[in-house]
Amino acid sequence: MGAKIVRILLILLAIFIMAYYLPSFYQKSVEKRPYKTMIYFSEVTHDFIIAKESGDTLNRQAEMHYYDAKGNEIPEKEYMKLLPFNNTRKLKLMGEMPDSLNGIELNNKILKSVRRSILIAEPFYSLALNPLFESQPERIGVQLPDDVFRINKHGIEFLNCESNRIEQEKSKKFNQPLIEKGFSFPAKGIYGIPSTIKLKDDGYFIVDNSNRLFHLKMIKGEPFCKEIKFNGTIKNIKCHSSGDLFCHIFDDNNQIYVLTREYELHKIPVENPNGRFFVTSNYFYNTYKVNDKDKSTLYVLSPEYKLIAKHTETIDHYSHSKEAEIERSIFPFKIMRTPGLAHFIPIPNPVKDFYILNLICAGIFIIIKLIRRRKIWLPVNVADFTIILLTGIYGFIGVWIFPNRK
Amino acid sequence: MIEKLKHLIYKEWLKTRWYATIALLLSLGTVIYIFISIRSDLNLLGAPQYFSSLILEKSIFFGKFKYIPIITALLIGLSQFVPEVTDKRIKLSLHLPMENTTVIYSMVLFGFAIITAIQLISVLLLTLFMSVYFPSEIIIPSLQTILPWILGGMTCYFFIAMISLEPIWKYRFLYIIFVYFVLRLFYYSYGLGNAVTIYPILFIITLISSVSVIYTSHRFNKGEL
Repeated sequence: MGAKIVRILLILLAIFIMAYYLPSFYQKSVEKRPYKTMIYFSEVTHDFIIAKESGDTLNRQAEMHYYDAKGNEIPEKEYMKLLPFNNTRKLKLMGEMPDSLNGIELNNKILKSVRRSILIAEPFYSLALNPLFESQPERIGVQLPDDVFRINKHGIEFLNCESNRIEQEKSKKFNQPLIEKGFSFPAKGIYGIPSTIKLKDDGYFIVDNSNRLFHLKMIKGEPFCKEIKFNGTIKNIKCHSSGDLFCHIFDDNNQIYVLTREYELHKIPVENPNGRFFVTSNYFYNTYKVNDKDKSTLYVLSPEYKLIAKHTETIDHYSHSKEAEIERSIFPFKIMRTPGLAHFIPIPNPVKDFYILNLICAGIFIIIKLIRRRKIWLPVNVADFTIILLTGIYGFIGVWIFPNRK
Repeated sequence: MIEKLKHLIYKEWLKTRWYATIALLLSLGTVIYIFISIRSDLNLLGAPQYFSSLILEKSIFFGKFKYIPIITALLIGLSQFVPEVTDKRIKLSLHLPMENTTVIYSMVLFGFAIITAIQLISVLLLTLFMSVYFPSEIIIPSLQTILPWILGGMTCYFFIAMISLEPIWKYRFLYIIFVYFVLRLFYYSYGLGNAVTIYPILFIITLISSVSVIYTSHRFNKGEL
């Protein structure tokens, strides 16, 4: 009896392993690169520009076509002129870069203010140790300190990297303002840029144990601590080292906010299904692009973060392809590993096409048993049949790898 | 019964002692090498720079240890089971006046205990070395990252026992492929400390592997062909 139960456990493990590897092997072997579809907002016409790829991505013979908001195709040179911030270098080489736009001189400061970043709502794992840089150093640049800090139930503690011991004096000095502001220890999250590769330091944004938000930095060796009023629970913060923003803040509903360097908090009027944004900012507009499985939406916001326009385009995706259709008729479900914190998540097949293959596999199983003159109503064979019926190709292979005795 | 078990365990000890010594020396040597390389990097880069790169890149500074548990499992497992399955010598043990499962599991648990002891000594020594230079914020995620590797080693050992007792070569070959893909799950490049969420699955796999030998020993004993 024990051996039979172990056999079933091994078959279930084999099904798990196959559901993890086989669909991804299949997809890797047949998947073509999807056609690109990109949405832009022109600072010249104040309207959308669409770039679409067509041709054959497999033979690398695909080419881009550009369209205005009305769907009229425009030449590539015209497209570049309509998006001067995206094509600055090429326009300068061609001698087509305008000196001014909408009455504003396009000087170096404005051209360098272009910011592009990816925002992800899911927080990444952090070691909860960070260096606190001097925010107003005498020399330009950011210097690495000799210590790192942590905020545990005892308060903020600075650890000397060389000796691995707590620096009592410094810890006490920085603990004082946190206690005065009513910081609840330990910290739930510490967000910042712990790298020296930045022009200036803005310290860290810290969520305390009561979900309150604080800004901590060091100015001339002294602590600076400020509470920032925020309604809701903070899930993640993405800090920026330059521009007019301190950071983007995600709440637990994936709603996104910006915190300006004047400590103004703006809720971004963007619907976001998956917690991933592609952000582009320049002097005239802030754009937030959200890519869903089959569509891409670009939200255009004013410099004051008010919604100006939005546009959605359907995009090419593997799930729409003939190959994906075949995949859905083979595999009843698949298991994937999430990026960041590792999880195995089962993904059920949304289209129930796989039933035919499940039935075929179960039929073959019965035929084999009949040919070999086995008693198919034995509990062990009924269990195998049920497994194959439910898990299809996975169960069929699993039962074959771990056979029953005669 | 106890006397018979003692003899069985002595037989296992005779088969594995040199391989266990090699595994222990290899494991301790790797830990000492990791310690020396941490000290060297701290001296060369300076402690603040080393900490900074750890914080930013979450580098696995003990990466040399990754495959040590699986090498240990291979040394112990193969030294225990290859002599037994050569010419089906294990049949002699299975004809002892003892339950077959007891005989098999006295062998498997002996090997498991040896592997666990080697890993425990190595990890304790590594933790001791780490505590000289690093705070708990680095030590705990490091140990969390090592755990899947150790579980992978244990799983590998249990599956070696399972494959060895399988009577048919065709299925042995299939099990080797199956085990390869199972073990890959334990050795993904999980970032420092972020494998914690995957522990339940890995523990379940290790548990299933620990009883897998019951299936093939049953096939071996009852005769499959």
